Amino acid sequence: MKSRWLLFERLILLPLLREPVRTSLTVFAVALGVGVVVAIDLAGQAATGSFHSSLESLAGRGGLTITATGGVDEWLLGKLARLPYPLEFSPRIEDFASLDGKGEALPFIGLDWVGSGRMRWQAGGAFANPILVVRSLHLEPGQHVRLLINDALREYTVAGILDSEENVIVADIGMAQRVTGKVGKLDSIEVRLPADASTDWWRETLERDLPVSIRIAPEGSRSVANRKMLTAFRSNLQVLSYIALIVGAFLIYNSISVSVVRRRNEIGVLRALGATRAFIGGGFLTEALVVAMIGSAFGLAIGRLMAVGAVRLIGTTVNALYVSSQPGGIELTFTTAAVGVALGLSVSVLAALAPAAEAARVAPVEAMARGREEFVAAQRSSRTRWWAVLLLATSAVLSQLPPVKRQPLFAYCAVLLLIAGTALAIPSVVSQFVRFSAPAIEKLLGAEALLALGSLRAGLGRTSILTAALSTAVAMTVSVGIMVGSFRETVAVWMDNQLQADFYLRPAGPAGADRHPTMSADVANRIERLPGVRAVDRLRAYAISYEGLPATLAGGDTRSIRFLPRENRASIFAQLETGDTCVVSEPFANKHNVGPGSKILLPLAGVNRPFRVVGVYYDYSTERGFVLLSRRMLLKYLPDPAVSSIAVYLNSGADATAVHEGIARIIGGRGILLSPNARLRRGALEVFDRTFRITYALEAVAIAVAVMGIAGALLAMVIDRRRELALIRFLGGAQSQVRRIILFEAGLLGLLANGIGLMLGILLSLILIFVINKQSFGWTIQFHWPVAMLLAALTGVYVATVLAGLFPARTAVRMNPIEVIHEA
Amino acid sequence: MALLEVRNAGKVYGTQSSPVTALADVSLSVAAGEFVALVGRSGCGKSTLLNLCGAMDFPSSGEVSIDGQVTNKLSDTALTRLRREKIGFVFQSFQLLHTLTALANVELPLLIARRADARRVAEERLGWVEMAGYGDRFPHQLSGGQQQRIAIARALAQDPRLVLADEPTGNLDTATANTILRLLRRIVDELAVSVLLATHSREGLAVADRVISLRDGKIE
Repeated sequence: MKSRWLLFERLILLPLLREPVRTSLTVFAVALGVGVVVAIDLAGQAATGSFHSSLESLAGRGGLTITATGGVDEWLLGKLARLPYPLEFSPRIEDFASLDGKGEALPFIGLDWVGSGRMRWQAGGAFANPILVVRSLHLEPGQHVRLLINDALREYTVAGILDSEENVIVADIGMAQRVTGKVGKLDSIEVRLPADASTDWWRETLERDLPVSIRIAPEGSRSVANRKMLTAFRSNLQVLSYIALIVGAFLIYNSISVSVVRRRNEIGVLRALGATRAFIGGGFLTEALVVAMIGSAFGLAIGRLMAVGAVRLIGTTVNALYVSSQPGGIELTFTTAAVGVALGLSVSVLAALAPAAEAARVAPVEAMARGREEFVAAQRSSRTRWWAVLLLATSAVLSQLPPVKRQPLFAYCAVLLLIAGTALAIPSVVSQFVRFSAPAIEKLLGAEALLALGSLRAGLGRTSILTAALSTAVAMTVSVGIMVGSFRETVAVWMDNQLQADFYLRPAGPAGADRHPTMSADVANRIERLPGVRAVDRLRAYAISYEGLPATLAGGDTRSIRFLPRENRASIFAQLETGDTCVVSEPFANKHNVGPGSKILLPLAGVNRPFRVVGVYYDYSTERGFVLLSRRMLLKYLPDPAVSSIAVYLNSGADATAVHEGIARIIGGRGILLSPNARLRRGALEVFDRTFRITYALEAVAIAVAVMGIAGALLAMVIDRRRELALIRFLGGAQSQVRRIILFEAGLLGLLANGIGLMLGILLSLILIFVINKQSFGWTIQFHWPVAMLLAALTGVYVATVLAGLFPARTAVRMNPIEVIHEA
Repeated sequence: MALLEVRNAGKVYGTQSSPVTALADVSLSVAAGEFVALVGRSGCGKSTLLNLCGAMDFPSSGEVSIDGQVTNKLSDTALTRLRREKIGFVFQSFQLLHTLTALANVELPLLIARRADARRVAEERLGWVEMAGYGDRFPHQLSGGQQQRIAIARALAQDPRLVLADEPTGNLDTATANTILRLLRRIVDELAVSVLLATHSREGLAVADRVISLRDGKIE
C-alpha cells in the first residue's frame, strides 16, 4: 500500500504540482464543465422541476381536483355535497394578483375560510376586503394594499399572516369570486378522500356522477402536466450544458496526451525498470482521475454559485413561454452532486483512455527515441480521415430520423457524431492548411510566423486536439447564435404580420403564458365607438389541458394570423364562422399531431365536443399551443364576454394621438395597459432576448473553458520546447521574437478554430433549427444570418485566444537560455 | 549454463521493400559473474544487441535466452518480470527522472516491484556507490559522474543477475569515466553480477574479462 502511495506521489502528484499553472487551468476547465452541468440541473429543478403549478398553491396532497374549461359552475358543489360519499369538497378560485399592479404575479387563491380548517394565520379584526398574505411579502396585519386583479386595481386589507412557504395571497371565496369576475363560478373543487382510499377508484366513481366535460384528476396533476411540458425545454438546456463538458473532455485528452508525449522518455525508463503496460496506462488514467476529482469538487461549488444566476434566467424563460412559476430553493442534493461528479470523472477518464492506451502500447526502446510520437499522429491523420467521413455520413442519416417520444434523440446523436467527425477530420485540415498557407504566411508575417506554423505542424496531434476543443466551443456559439438570430428574425417577421393594429390593450401586471386576466367587454365596445377607429379585435383566452398537456383555448377576431403555406386563408375564415371548427397553432399541431381535417375533443358546455381543425397558423407567443375558435363560437359555449386582449385599428388618416387620448379616458381608473404598436413589438423582442440569455451564458462558459485549455496547452508547449526556444536565443533571436512566435501560434490556432468552428457551427445550426427545434418545440424557424453577432463572436474568440498566449509567451521570454540548455 | 545466450540473432528494421539489417547472425554468451565488453563503431549494432539482451526488444531471427528463459517465447508480462528481477540497465545519458531526488530514483524500481523495504534497500545501494550523502539531491544538482553513480545504484536496486551498460562513460570526462568503469568492475567482483558493457573506449576494454567486437551488425 505504501509503495503504491509513493509511486502515486512521485509519478503523478509531483509532476502535476510542478506545473501549477497548467494543472490549475486543466482542473478549472473540468470544474467549469462540471459546474455548468450542475448549475443547469439545479436551476432546472428549482425553476421547473421542484416547483408545482402556481394555481395549485395551498392545495392538499393526495386527493382529487375537479376542473372545467371556463370554470366549474357553482351549483356543482351542491350536487357533489348531496352525493352519498364520505368526501369533503373545498371550492377554490385560482387567479393572479400583483401588488400595486407592479412586480411579479402572485397566485391569488380564494378559499372557503370557514371550511379551510387546516390553514393557520394570526387572528385579525374585522376588515374591508380582507386578505391573508405570507410572511415573505413583509406586510403587517391591518396594512392596506392595492392589488391589481384582471383590470381592476382595488384596495385590500391584510387580515393576517399566513403560515405558508408558498408565495401566495388568500381571500375568502365569496370576495374572490367577486373581484375576479367569477360570480357563480369556481376554478376548481378540491376533493379530500378517506385515508385509505384509492384515488383511481374515487375518480371513476365521481366521473359517473358528473358531466363528461368536467375533468377529475389527482391533485398535483397540473404540476405533473407542466413538468411534462417542460421536459423538452429542460432536456435541450441540459444537452446544451454538456457542450462545455465535451470541450473539457478535449482538454483532458490534450492534457494527458501532452503528459504522455512529454514523459515518453520516462515511460521507457519505467518499462526498463520493470513497469508493466497496465502500470503505465493506469498511471495516466490515474492522472486524469486526479485532475477530474479535484475539478469536479470545485465544479460542484462553482455549479452551486452559478445556479443562482441560472435559475433567474431559466425562470424568465419558463414564465414567458410556458407557465407561471415561482422558482423553488436551490438544493444541492446528493443525486445532483453524484451525477455531476460521475459525469466529470467518466468524461475525463474516457477522454484519457486513448492517450493512456497509447502510452501503454509504446515499446520501451521506441519510447526513448525522439520524434516518433508525431510520426504516429501524421500516420493517423490519413486513417482518421476515413473515420471522419463515416461519422459525418452517419450524422447526416441520423438527422433525418423522427423523434422518439417527442425527444429528438437521433438528432442529439447526429450532433455528437458531427462534432466527433469534424474532430477526426481536423488533422487533415491542419496539414493542408499548413501546406498551402506557409509561403503566404512567411511573406506576410515573417520568419516568426513561419516558425510558429512549423511548430503547429510538428505537433500535429496536439494542434488538432486544441483546434477541436476551441472549434467545438466556437461551433456552439455560432450554431446557437444562428438559431437564436434566425428565431428572432422569424418572430420579428411574424410580428409584422400578426401585429398590424395601431393599439393594443391588456390588463396591466406582468404577462405570463398561462395567465389570462380579463377586461370588461364594455371597454372594447366603447373604444369601437371612438371617432377614427376602424375596427376592434377582441380575444379571450382560457388555460386548458389537452391530452394531459397544458394548452390555451382562445376565441377571437383573427384577421391578422398567418397560416402555414398552401392553406386557403379565405376558406379557413369562412369555415371558422360556421359550425364547430377551429384553427390551431403550429406548436399545438406538432405536439398533438393534428392538422387540417383532424378532429379534436374540447370539453365545453357539458360535453366533450368534437371540433374540426381547418387550419394551422404560425404562432411564436407560447410553446403551450393554441386552439383558436371564432369569438362567436367561443361565446356560444363560454358566454362570458370579458376579453383578454384588445387590438384597435384606425382609419387611414385618423389622428392617432386623439384616439390614444380617447382610449386613455375610457380605461382611466382601470388597471389596463395601453401599448402603441411599436412599443408592443419592442417589448416582445425584449422578452425574447431575456429568454435566450441563458444560452449566451452557456456559450460564454464553453468559450472560457476552451480558451483556458489553449492557455494551458501553449504553456505546456513552451515548457516542452524550451530547448528549441533557448536555441533561438543562442542563435541570435531576440526576446521579442520568441514572444511573437508563441503569440503567432496562439493566433494561428484561433484562426483554424474559428474557420472550422464556423463551418461546424453552420451545420449544427441546420440540425438545431430544422430538426431539434422542430421535434422538441414544433416551431418553424426561417434560416437567417446574424452577421453582426457572428462577426462579434468570432472576433471575441480570436482576441481571447491570442490573449491566452500572453502568459505562455511571458514564460518563454523569462526562461534563462543558458540554464535551459545545461538542464537539457 | 551461461547466464545470457544469444543464438544466431538477427534484427531487421524498416519495411519489407527496404529492410535495414542492424544485426545479422550474432551469437554470444555471458557466464554468471563475467564482465564482457562489446566494442564497435557507432551504428555497428551495439545498442540493438543490448536491447535484445535486456529483453527490451525481440530478434527478427534466432533467439535470446536469459537465465534459461527464451525471450521470444515469453509474454509481455513475463518479459517485464524478467527485466524487473534479473536485469539492470545503465544508459549513456543516465535517464534519471528529473522530478525525483537521487534516493527516490533508486527507490523507483523497488516501488514498482512493491518491495516493502524499498527505502532501506535504496539507501544501501546509494551507500554502495558511495553516494550516501546525496540522496536528497535532484539530478540537476549533481555532476555527470554522480548522476551515473545514481543510475548504477538504481540498476542494482533489485539485485539483478545481469547489468547492461550502454556507453555509460560516453558523456563523461576520462577521470570520471574511469571511476565509473571501476564501479562496474566492482559489481562483478563483489556482487558476482554479470556485466555486458557496450563501449568504444580503450579503458572500457581494459576492465573487461572478455571483449567481443561487432562490425556492421556482425561479430568479428
